[in-house]
Amino acid sequence: MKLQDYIVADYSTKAEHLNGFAGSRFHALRQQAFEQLSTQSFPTVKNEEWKYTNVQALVAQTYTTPDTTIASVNEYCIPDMECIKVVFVNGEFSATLSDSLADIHGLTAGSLHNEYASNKDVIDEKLGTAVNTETNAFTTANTAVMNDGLFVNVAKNTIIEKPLYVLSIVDATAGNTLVQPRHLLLFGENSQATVIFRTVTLGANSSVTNQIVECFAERAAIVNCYVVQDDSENASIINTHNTHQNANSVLNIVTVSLSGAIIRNTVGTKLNEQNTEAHMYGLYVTDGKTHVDNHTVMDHAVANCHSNELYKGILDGNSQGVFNGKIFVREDAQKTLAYQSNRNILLSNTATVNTKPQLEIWADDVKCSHGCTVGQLDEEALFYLRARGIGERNAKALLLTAFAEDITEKISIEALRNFINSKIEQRLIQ
Amino acid sequence: MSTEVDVLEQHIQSEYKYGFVSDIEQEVAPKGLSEDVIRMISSKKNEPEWMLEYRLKAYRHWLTMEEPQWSNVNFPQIDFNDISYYAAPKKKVNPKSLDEVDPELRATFEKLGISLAEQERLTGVAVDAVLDSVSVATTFRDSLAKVGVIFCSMSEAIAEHGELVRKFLGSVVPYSDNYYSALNSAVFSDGSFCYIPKGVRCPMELSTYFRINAKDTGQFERTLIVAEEGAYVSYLEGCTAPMRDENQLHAAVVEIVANKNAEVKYSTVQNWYPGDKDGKGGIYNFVTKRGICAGDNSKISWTQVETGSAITWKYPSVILKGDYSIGEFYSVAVTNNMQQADTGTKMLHVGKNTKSRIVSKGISAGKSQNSYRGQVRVNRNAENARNFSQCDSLLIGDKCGAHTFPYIDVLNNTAQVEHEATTSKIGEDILFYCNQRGISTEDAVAMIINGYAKEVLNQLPMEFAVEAQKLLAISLEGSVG
Repeated sequence: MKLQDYIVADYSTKAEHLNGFAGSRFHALRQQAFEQLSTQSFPTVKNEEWKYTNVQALVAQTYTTPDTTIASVNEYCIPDMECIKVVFVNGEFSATLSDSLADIHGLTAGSLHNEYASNKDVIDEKLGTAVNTETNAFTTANTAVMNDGLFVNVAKNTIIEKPLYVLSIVDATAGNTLVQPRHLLLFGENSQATVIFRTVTLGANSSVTNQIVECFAERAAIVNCYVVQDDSENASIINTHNTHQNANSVLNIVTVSLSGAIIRNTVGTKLNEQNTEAHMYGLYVTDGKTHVDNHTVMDHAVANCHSNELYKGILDGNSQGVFNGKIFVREDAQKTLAYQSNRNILLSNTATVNTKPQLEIWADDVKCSHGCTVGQLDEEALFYLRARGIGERNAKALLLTAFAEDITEKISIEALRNFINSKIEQRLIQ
Repeated sequence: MSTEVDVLEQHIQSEYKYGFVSDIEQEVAPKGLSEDVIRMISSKKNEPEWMLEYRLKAYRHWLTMEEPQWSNVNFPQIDFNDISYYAAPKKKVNPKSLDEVDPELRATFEKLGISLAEQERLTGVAVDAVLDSVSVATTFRDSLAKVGVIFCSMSEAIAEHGELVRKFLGSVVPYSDNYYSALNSAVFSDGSFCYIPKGVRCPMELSTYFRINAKDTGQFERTLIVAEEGAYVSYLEGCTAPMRDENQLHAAVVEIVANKNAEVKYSTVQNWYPGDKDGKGGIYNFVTKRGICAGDNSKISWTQVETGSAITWKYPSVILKGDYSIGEFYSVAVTNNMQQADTGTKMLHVGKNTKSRIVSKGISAGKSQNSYRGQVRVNRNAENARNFSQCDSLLIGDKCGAHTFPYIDVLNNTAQVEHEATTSKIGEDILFYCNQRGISTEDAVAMIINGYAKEVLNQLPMEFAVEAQKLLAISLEGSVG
């Protein structure tokens, strides 16, 4: 079945097995999105937001529903990283593969589907409020069939020491697979937690993950999100990650894209109250035919907020990197500080960069700047290293690793940082 | 604070300096657009058959197109059938010397401060003055002809240098390029044609002065500049329009061709009527400007100072086709009151070792919206392309907006492309420093703005630089707050 038909069928199956969801807001949202979907079509390159990212191949291909049993996920874990594993197989929560989420002080976590019964009020209040189904059919499609994903509610004044490692396993051995996880993360006042997202595709067929993360940071919460995209060459991901931030909260998002087919990240945060801080970092080191598209939105709705954005890319082979960063400074958002920068290095003559750093400012007492560069390695630096007996390949790798480290150093978990650095080094030294 | 408010009030109430109407009998075509109107325009101008064909082809294509909606400006839908597409002064003007020019017409120019006589005597600038649609007088024609430079109105060029025009017209901006260029190709009434033959350095700055006079007439200028191998020309364009309540449409097309080793410098100072403080009236300035560096080592440089128009929507571009060619864009765009500007440039790197430089300075005040939209594209085979872009915005007052939309597309790994942009306001500390030394807030702002825009103003020829500085001061008079 093609994408649209597959979603329709998926919706019908879910509508038949409502298991207690009938009449809930959860289901109403689905129903509404489903109706909306019939009036929308998936974005084409004529859509300004999707100008450089052609998803027609994903829309046109056929999908099947896999039946998968997995015994162990050890090989998909980050070596030596202490974490709380949360495993999804083909978009559904797997209690057996996941670590126990029950006895962690201050943390309510689990499958969105299972937690709905006991956390109905808070889920109904927040779910669907950080995304807009008007924007594109992927968001609507995800909302229409949303069923499972991670639900996290961090209690007031608690720090969750271990990061949550959200591992999504997609089985594409038998045919093309579509999964649409929906994650809802709530960070209570003064709380602190870290969430890591990673997708692993099995098999050689095409997998498409259309994922939405809705994230709410209450007053003074500190939220760290790390997104690791190192999937197989036929794995595509449409990742929408939206955050609403209240006063004094801090958001750190690091997105690292290393491999895949089409990777589209739409990362946004709305600075709703004063004195909030948002940091978005992104790194893409790609080769082959990988297409990475990072769209970011910093929405400064109120005064006295600070945002900082740095995206860096190293592109080799036929890969393509797209960056579109938007900074909005609304009328009342005086004393805003907003910085944005996008830096790219092209290693091959068949790689492409399309970048559009965009500022939209309606307030006068602000300091905003953006910059972007596309270039190559500094010949002089390269010469300096080679003059000291370092081979060309190693010298280049050294410089490129240093270039990438600006982003990887923002990852505060050592094991994860080492894991990513070693992957990058491997790639660059080839 | 109160003085600042006063100053602001004063400025808001300052009237458009160039708002007067010349009482010259005009011949105006009936409103509306159809093939008949185009045939009428063409026959009035005694155009050859190929020209009419070109116009009709453009018109038929235009009918199939839709008005673009992507710009960051808002305006009510234009009724293209409510515009008169041709207006000409009725008295047949075909003067041999300035003495034969209609005295009232000359008085109009004098009010504008570009007295032809004075210009001829003192400044040595050849002016091809365009009043509405027919070119009125061209000065210095003879001295230019001596070195082989052709500088005349487009209608004359079509009549006298038909083959040249035919060869280059539409070669840089084809009629199918966009909605407004198609419209212009169909109905353009007049404009300037400039041809610099091989190896000639044009002995003076060429200048043209547009002025929209008649009510409800669209101004559809067509300018074509061709610089042959090794030629050099500096071309100046200035624009004003009288005060009118209805919004007037100006959809011009400017094409520049620079062949091997040629250099063309195109400067614009635009102070069309921006509408009153409530945004009523004013000019819609929807212009397609594009140059092609066709030969190696050629150079095209655009400099613009935009202070007028209710809506400015234009992107002077350069196609860098020849190896080692250079494109430059320097711009100051000032918006005040309800003005909207969506302007920027496109630099398309096609040849090898090409360079481009973009410096854009936006200043927004009042309730205006000022956008920079630009594209730098390095094609797959454009080895060693180099681009530097800088676009700064200055905000005066908390009701205005500044927006930046730079598109950067790089397909070659030897390219070096840099873009940087900043947005800020005039620092209170700087104003305080000036006040402390006895400089009034208003003077201080004028001084700071001039300093801020200097990088661009320095690119203007002398005559224009003085005018541009005055314009900046007038447009922003006291908008501190």
